[in-house]
Amino acid sequence: MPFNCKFFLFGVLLAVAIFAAPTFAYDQQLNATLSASGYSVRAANGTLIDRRTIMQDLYLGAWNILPGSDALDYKGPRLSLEVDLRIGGDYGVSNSEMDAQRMDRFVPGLEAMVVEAVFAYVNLQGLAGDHLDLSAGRRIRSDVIGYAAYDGADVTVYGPLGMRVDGFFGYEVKNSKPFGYDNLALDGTDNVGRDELEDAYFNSLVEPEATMVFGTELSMAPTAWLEGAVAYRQAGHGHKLQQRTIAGRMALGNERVRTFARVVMNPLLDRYDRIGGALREGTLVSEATLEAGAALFTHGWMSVAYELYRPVFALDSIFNLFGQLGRRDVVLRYAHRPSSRMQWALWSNVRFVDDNAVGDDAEQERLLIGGGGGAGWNYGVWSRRVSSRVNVDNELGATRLGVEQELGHRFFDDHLWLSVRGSLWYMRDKMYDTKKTIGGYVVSANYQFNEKARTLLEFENYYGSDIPRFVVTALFQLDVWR
Amino acid sequence: MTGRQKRITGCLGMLIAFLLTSMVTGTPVAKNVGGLKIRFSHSAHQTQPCESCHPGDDKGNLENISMRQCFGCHQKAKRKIDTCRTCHLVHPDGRMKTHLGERVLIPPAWLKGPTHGIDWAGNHATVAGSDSKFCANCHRETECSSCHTGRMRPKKIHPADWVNTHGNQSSIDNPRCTGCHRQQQFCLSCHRRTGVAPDAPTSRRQSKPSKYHGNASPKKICRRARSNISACASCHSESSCTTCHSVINPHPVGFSRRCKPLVKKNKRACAKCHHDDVEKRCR
Repeated sequence: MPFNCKFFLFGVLLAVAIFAAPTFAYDQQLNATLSASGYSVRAANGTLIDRRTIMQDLYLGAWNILPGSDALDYKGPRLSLEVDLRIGGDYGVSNSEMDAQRMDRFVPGLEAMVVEAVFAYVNLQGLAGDHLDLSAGRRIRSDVIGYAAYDGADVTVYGPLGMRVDGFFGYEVKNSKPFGYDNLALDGTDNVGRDELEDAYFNSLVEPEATMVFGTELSMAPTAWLEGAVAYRQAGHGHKLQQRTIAGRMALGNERVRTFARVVMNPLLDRYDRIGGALREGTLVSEATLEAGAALFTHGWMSVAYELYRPVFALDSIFNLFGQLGRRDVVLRYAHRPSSRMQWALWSNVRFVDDNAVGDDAEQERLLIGGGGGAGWNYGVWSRRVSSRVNVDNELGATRLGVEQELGHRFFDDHLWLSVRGSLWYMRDKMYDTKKTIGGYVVSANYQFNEKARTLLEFENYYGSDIPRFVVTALFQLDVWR
Repeated sequence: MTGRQKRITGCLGMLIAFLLTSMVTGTPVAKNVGGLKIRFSHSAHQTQPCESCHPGDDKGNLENISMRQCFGCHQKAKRKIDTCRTCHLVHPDGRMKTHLGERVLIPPAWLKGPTHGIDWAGNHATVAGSDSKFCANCHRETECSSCHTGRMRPKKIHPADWVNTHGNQSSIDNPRCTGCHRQQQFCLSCHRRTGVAPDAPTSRRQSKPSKYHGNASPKKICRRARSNISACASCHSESSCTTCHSVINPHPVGFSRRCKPLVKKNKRACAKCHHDDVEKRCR
């Protein structure tokens, strides 16, 4: 029997074994998405590079595993298990591009095939009289600092006045680890480029060593109008980083603190304030946001925000030590929802930069370097939808102006959702003397077979750009509960 | 096909077979709570004065109650995550059922400010980051990870020939890019593959010296780099910087007065340029 047929048969037997089994006491969910996309891009020297991406995402969940815990009025521990696996790759990648001996073709870090466990953990909630949650496995954490993916354990303790203390520890998920990936780690930088390494060592994106990561978050919400949080996270170890040699591979590590507070004032106005900040290495504020919002009208929401941003890299990167100019945005937003069918919004921002000259004795100025704005509206009911959007941005001579329009309608007893999305963008960058206008459209057909299954076929076509002119995407999704 | 590719293809075939078979054999969910839009027990609330829920209405019209009134009491529960499921219908995993017939439930703006408006995809980060367990009342974790660790382009976020046009947008607003992408992994590997990065394979580079930066002067390039160093990191490695900055001071104003904690934390970054006496350079 051919190799692939064995796998196919195994898949059939596995599905039959699972779904033909007697009903279990717990709730289960399976969500599977198979997607494929094909197009080409043009390389700098004019050659075409094919992309033939196919990706299978498989999510499995089981809840209320403990007997009786599926009852609506159940009070007690709840046990659940969630797994999300991803497998697939790009069939346009050639073997020579992954061969470190082929200097003329080798692309470090390029992967033709991936097998990833996005998350896989067991979760035990409602312990100790509903005061304690535990979880263990591969988790994606989202707290006020941001995303992190780790293999380890998480403990959450609930206290009075809406207090919550959350701590986690484990090993950072990396590309080089089994079923790993690295999109969620803080960015690092290559220590050296191709010219300074032998080909076999020019593989700088792979960091094989395991890195410990741990952190904690304390949050409080004593009332509906007040809440706050402070979080700390460290990845890697400063002392160990110092011991390593200065060549070859990156050593990622970082240490961050972030605070957050939100106040909602009532009843005069639904005023809404929030502030956040991240301290890098205990010395520099890299991000801060202060926002105030008000419900000026019954269905309208207006907010003004002040945002500071300086990029942060891994502790080992020299980019942290450069004279980066912090960006400061003042953002104004207004959103209005006169009915459940209709909504519109306006947004705009102006951007300043700290123009501090390099050197110890230089003066510091704050300069206006750009801004942008936009508007959008949406009318939608179950069977049809229309939306439009206009956006313009400018910064340091780079301009982007665009219009997008989308129409959608249901057919065949609501089984088929057809939509068309058109767009027109004008782009200019004075610094590089580039200017272009690109128009295009996307036609989507989404067919819902039943509650469990749907398929999507999309065709994209563009004008004004070299490549790709056509992009075809197909998707099949299955969502089964039992 | 290499052995690894064969194994991957085999696994894909297995998963496809699994899906097709489970379509036929899988059983649908049949859990419904009598078509009610909320769970509400009047007897459980009779300990409260009638006026607290029915102000100025002796007919007991429930429409006079706003969700905010409910929330005023139920927020005091010690576990905020349970607040929604106290009244709303939920899936077996505890998430709210947000699609009720043709009606879609969204949280009110006064509740943490998640307006879910048409610009929501671009500015949900602060709300989602500050209390992701609140979002988890309605959203599955895969809804986050499909974009934030995703491998297929979400077209509502990246529309219209994004492969060709992303450079302009990412240059203007790359803080948004870093929410999902690492420059040195996601961007750099593709820029190397397409010959855009300076250390791309020779077969993909232009035959002439790179014209990517046009005729821009080093001063202009430097200015943009300092205001947007993330954009540089999507093509360049550190060696690109140290080529010049080994002789031109790249540090910010007053750096030598506050670099001691950095040296103490990690001398290795400093030592890439300063080969000796790193501590002595800090005041």
